[in-house]
Amino acid sequence: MEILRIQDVTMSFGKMNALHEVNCAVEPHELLAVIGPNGAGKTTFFNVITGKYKPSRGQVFFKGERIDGLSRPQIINKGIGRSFQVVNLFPDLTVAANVRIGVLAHQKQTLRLFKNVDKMAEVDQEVERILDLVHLGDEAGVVATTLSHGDQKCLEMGMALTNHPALLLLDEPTAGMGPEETRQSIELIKDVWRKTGVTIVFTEHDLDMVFNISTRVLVLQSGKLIADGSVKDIRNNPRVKEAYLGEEA
Amino acid sequence: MAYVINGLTFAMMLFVLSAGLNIILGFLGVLNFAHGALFILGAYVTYAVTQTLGDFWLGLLIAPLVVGLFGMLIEFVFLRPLYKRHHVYTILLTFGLILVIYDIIKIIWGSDVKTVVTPPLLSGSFTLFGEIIPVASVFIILVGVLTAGGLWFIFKKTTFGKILTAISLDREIANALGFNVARRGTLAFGLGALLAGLAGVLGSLKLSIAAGVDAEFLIYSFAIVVIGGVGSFRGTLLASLIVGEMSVLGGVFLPELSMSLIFVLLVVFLTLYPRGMFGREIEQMHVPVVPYLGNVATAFQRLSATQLSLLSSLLVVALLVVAPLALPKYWTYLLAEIMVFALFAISFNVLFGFTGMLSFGQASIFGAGAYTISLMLIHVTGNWWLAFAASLVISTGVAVIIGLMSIHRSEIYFGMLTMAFAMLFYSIIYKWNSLTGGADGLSGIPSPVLKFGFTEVEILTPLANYYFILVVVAICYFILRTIMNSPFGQVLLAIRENPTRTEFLGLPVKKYKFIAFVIAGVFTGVAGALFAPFAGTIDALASHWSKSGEPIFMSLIGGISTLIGPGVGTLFYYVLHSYIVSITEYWQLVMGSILITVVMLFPMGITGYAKKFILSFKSS
Repeated sequence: MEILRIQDVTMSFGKMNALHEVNCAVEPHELLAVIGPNGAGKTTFFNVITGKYKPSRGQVFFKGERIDGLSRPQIINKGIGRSFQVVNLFPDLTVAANVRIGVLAHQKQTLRLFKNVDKMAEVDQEVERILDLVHLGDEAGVVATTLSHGDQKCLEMGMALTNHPALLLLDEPTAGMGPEETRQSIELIKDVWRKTGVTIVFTEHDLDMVFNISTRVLVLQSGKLIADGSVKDIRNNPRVKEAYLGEEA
Repeated sequence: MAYVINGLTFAMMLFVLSAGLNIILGFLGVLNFAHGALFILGAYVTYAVTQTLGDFWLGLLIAPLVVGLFGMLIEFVFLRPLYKRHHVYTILLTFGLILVIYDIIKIIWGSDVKTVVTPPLLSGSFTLFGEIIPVASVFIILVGVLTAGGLWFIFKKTTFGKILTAISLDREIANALGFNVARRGTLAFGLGALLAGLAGVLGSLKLSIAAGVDAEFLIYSFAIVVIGGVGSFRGTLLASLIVGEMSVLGGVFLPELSMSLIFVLLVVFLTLYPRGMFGREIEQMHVPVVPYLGNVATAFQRLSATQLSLLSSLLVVALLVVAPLALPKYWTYLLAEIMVFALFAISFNVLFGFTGMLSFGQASIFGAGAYTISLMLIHVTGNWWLAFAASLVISTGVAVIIGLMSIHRSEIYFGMLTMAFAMLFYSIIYKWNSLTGGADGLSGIPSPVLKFGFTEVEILTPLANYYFILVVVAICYFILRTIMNSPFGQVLLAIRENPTRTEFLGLPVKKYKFIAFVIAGVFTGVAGALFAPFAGTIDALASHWSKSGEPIFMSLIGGISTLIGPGVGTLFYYVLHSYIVSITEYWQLVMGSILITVVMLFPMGITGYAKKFILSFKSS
C-alpha cells in the first residue's frame, strides 16, 4: 500500500498558488527526490505534508489515513520525520540532548516529572544507536552549535529519525555544503535508507546528486507537478529540460 | 455633561501619551515601561520652566523637546545594543530607567509634590448649555486634536513617516533598500518620548506632580495601545476615548467596577483580537532568553555538573541551617523573608529561564496564596495545614485560569496578557474592601499552628519561623530540582531553545507550557502562603503587577540559566538593597543603574558566570 498520497492539493497565499492541483503517491521504501527551480513549491510541498500549512484545497493521506488539518505534533506522531532547509536545532543543548528530546517523545516519557533523565538506560541506548547511525557517536557531548554545518545537518537527520518514522522528509539535505560534505551527506542518506528501510522524500538543488541516488523523481515548476518518473525518464523529459534551461536562460 | 467633558479631557491626555507608546511599540517592538516616567519628567520640566522663566507657554515648548531628546539618548545608548536579544531585556532596561529617572527627579526637584501655576489665559471657566467648563480642559482637548492631526500628517503625508511605517512592517527589507533603520529608530523613540513629554505638560495643568502618579497612566496607556491596535493612531484615539470615559464615568457611577472593567476589556482584546480594533500584530522572531551561553548550558546534561550543583545546593541548605546561630537577630528575620522571595523568584524562573515564558502574572498567584491563607487563618481555622491546603487550591486555580487563557499567545503577547490578568486581579483585590481590606489589606494574621496527630506546635518566635520557612522552601526547591532534571524538564529546555522544532518532534508545545505554568503557579502560591502569616499583614500591593517585576530582576542578577540562580539573586538584592538604603537616600538610582548594567553587560548573572568559570577551570 502506498505510504503517502497527495490528492489535488492546492496551496495559495493570497492570489499566488504555491502548489497547484498536485497529485502524487509515494510507495514504501522509495528514495524519492522532489526537484524544481527556485520558488517551484518544494518547501511548501513539505510544509503541507507536515501540517505547517493546511492546504487550501485537496487532501493528504498517510498510510491511507487523512492527515491534513491535524496539528504538527499529531502528524509527526503518525510516523513522519522531518529535517529543515535551514538548520533547526536546540542550539545550546549538546548533540546527545538534542536527539534525546526526540527519543523521550517517542518513548512517551516526557510527562515523567520525577525521573532523573540522566538515569534512563533505554533512552541512552537509543540515543547512542541514532548517533551512530548518523555518524555522530563521537560528538555526543558537544554543544550543537559548535558542530560543523555538515554535522549539524546530520544531527538534524538524527533528530528526524527519533520517532522511527515510516516516512522521512529531508528538505535540501545538502544545502550550503561544499563538494566533500555533499558527497558524505549523500552516502549517509543512502546508508540510513538501506539500514532502516525508511521511505525518504527529499528536495534537492543538486541534480547530479538526485540522479545519483533517487529511485524516482518528481519535478515541480511554479507549483505544478510537471513530471513524475524514473531518473532515466526525467533526464530525457523535454519539459524538465525546458524548466531548468528556462531558469538558466 | 461635566463628567463627559472631564472624561474627554482625560481621554485626550491619555491619547497623547498612548500615541507615543504606540510609536515606540509599533516601530521598535519595545514595550516601554519608562513611558510613564518620561510623562512625569515632562510635567517636572514644565514646572521648572514655569518657575524659573515664569512662563507656562515656554514650558509647553521646552518640556516635550527636552523629554524627546532624552528619549533619543536612551534609545541610542541603551536600547540599540539590545534589539537582537529576547524582548525581556529591553523591558527590564526600561524598568531600570524608571528607577533612575525617579531619582534624577528627586535629586533635582526634591520629593515634595509640585503644582504648576495655571497661566491666566487658561485659568477660569465658562458656561456652555448651563454647564461650567474649565478653559484648561478645552485647551487639553484642543492639543489632543492637534496632536492627532499632526500625527496623521506626519505618517500619511511626509516621507519620514512613510519610511517609518515601511521599516515597522519589514525591518530587513527597509535595511536592504538602504534606509538608515537605526537612525530612524532613534528618531521614532524620540518622537514617542516627545509625546510623553507633551502629555506631561498637559498633565501638569490637572495633576499634582510627584514621581509615581504616572503608574496609573502607564497602565491605561498599555490598555489603550492594545485595544486600539499597535500601529494605528485611529485605534489609539478611539480607545483613549473609551478608556478615558470609562474611567471617569465609571468612577462616578460604578466606582467598584470601573477599573476592573477596563482590564476585562483588555483581556478580551488580547485573547480574541490581539490586533486590537485597527492595528496589526507585532512581528516577532523567537530568540532564546538565555544569550551567549555556549558551553554553560551543557552543564544541565553533564553528570559531573549535576553532582556539583547538588553538592552546592546541599551546602547552601547547611549554611542556612547554621546561619541564625552566627548572625544577629535582624538577619534571621531578613533571611526568612529572603527565602520566601527566593522561592517566588525560583518558581518564576522555571517559566522564564527554563521554558522561555515571560509572565507578569506571578504576583496574582502569589497574592492569591497569601490572601487565601490569611482569610482562612483569620476567619475559618487556626489549623495551618487546612489553611495551607486551601491556599494551594486557590492559587493553583488562579494559575490554571491565567494559564489556560494566556498560553495560546506567545512571546510579547503572552507577557501582555499575563500583565492584564495581574492588573485585573489587583483591581479586584483593591476594590473588594469587605473581603480583602482594600488598600489597607489584612493585618493581625495569626501565626501558624501545626497539628501533628495529637500535638500542636505554634510557630511563634522569629527563629521558629525561620526554620519552618527553611524546611518548606528547601522541600520545594528539591522538588523543583527533581522536576527540572526529569524528561519533562528537558522538554521545557527544548521549548525555550526552539518551540517550532519541539513541535516537529511530536510534542504539543502548548500543553507542556501549560503544565509548566501550573507547576510554577503551585510553588508561587506556596511562597505567598508562607509570606502572609510570617509578615502578619498582607496588602493589595503584594499582588500588584509591578511586584511581578521583582522576580525578573532577581532572576537576572542571580542567573536565569541555573535553578538556584534567582535565589542567589534574591539574597544579593536584599543585602545590596539594605546596604544602599543605609548609605544613600538615592537607592533607586543605584539599583536602577545596577539593573541596567546587568542587562547590558552581564546577562548571565552571578551563577551563570560562576558556573562558566568552574567549568572552564575543570576543562583546562
